[in-house]
Amino acid sequence: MKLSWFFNITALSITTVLAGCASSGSNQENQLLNNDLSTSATQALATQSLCCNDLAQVTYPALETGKKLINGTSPAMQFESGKSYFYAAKIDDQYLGKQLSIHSSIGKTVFPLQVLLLKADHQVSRSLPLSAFSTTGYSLMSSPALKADIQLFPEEKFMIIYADNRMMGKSIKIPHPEKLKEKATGIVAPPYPDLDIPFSPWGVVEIQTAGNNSALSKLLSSEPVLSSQNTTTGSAPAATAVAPKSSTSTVAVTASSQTQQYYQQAIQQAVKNNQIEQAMQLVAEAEKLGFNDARTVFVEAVKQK
Amino acid sequence: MTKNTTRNYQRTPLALAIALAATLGATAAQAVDFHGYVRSGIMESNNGGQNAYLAGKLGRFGNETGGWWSMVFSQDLLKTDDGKSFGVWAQLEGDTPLTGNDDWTYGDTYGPNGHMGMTAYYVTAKGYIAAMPEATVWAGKRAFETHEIQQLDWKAVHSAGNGAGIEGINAGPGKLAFSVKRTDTNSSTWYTTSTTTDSSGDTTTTSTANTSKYNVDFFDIRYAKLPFISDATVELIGQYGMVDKNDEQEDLEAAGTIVKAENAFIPTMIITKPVGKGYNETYFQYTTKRFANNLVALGYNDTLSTSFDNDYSDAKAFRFINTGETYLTDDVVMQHSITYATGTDITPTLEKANAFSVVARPAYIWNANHKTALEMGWFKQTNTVSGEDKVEEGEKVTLAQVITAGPGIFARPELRFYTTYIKANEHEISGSAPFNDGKDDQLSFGVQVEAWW
Repeated sequence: MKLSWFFNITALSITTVLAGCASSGSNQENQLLNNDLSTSATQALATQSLCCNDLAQVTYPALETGKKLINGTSPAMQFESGKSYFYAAKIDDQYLGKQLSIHSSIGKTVFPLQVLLLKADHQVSRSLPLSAFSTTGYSLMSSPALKADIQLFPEEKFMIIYADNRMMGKSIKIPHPEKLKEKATGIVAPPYPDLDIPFSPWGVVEIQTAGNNSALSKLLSSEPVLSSQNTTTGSAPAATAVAPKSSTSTVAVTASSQTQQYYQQAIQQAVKNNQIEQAMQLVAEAEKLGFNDARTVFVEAVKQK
Repeated sequence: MTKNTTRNYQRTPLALAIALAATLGATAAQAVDFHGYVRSGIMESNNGGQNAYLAGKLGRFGNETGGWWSMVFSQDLLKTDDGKSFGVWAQLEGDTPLTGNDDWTYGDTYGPNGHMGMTAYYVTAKGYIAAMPEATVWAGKRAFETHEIQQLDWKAVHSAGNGAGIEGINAGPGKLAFSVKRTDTNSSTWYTTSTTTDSSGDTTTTSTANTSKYNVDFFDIRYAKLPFISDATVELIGQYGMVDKNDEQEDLEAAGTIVKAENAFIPTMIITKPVGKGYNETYFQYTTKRFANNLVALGYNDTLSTSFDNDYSDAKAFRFINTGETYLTDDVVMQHSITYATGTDITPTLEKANAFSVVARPAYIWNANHKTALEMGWFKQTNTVSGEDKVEEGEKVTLAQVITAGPGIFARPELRFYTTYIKANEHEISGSAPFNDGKDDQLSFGVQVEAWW
């Protein structure tokens, strides 16, 4: 019986792990990511009372980076895209001019996030629809997500993250994680079908300042591999904002021309300040939102210098 | 003057930016994409050694004594609005035997010290052939679309080496790809003797083993994604190894000094069908001459080998493989691999070979972070050598508790705590009992990590 101690320790480890695995030990985040709660979340949303009728009535705690759980304890209100739970925050001066990375984690379901950025008077400065977010694939220690990097403008003082309720009942397809192994080994992945992920009114949203990522984590992270607009089984909402409704319980979003104007000014200002990289980033961001004049604005700004 | 210089300096990147953003309509080099793979761990057995037994037939799960790593760097060098692109891919791979802690003494072959190598580096160019703008041309060192039987750790379709090719060509209902690579290989061995006489008049005769390196061009044609029945698709593959001999090699063959090296062809048909969240794949392969031995060899049955270490002139072989992953319920997933291979006249002495193996791995998914897996494998191979049947037969069972990091059920890294029992019922082909102290069975415990990113 050579190495009986080794067997004993290993057997004990296996027994311990086997015993431990029956209890999930899940926290709220795991519950949201590892279970398809879309049906119960939709039912809960239907009966959820509205917190406010106007963006000015919303309570805005100070923005803190990190994970935000959007579930039955979150406030809900009526948006143009439908009723939705949401996360709201006040953007402090420490985030002035910074780039935020916002993503919605993809587990068994995904929260179809949209973002409103508001000025000090709670008027909408920008509205970022679901189509502004790209799908990132699996990477080491990170789930796939709907993700976008957003350059904050100085006038933007508040942020609201909410769901596009029109996407409920629809789903998004993401590549099977074995496809990542193909990239890592060069061997053809087994022909797993893509994973079908339904949208849910609940989910996990994470906010980071884009510059905070370490070089290593950037190196290990996957580039966006799929556009949500191209992969939703239903049609993704258009990148332009919608007209206000007369209903007092609906938050009107009239950001289309204002948002476009903000991008134009920001691009011009960045070029004026010789911040070409930032200007190019803004061009890319604006084009993603469907503002196709951004490149022309950029070129004209350069010519006028 | 100073002011003007500064202004010109500022204008240069602006002009470049305009050129990139507006005039050329192209995107410059993107960030380097880094991906990697690692598999390692520790294994101990009741025999005091680390011995795997025919993982290519009994299953690799809990039956591996080596680790592996891979690092891949790729980059889109250029992308234009009209669909043209240039990219580069480089891959470094190596093995890490689980027996010691020697980090740096790498050898050039798989063995006790491990080895590493630059296994791929190639450049791709898409959209540069006017007649087929969807096609990608590539050149460099590459393993082109290797098909692996993952559970058994060998490649049912393998094509690697330095070469060039074109892929992604729209052709009727499917996609066409063609490549050619160099897979130079050794001839059979012949011996020469030399005699030396020392000062005292004593003579010493020395025998020297010799081989000659053949040039082998490996042609590979694929016709993939052909619609089949229902949602199934078919891929047709033809691979041809063509030996280009020099005069010396022709003379050695004519004199019977070395065995004759002949061209060989191996066609493969793969039927692929999605099954719920899983899949099912079936391979049919028939071949003659050199490639026939690859299908019926006792160990890892990769198809690529072209080494002319024996006379394969009359060899013929057929292989059937069915492999897949099926979710029996939401919580129970089953992986399986079934292989049957048969061959005749493989070498002048190996008159017949029949091999059958079946490996099944059901797993219960407790939750997103825990699985319990049980892998069972059995195989039997009968070789008729010079009129006498020789049998190799074995069985394996592995019980493993698997911990997976991250919230997703497919997330990695994955830690496997396992115990494996293997019994070699017959070992007449390998010639000896496979485990330490001449034992024909082994109980082992181990921990293995597998990660990719």
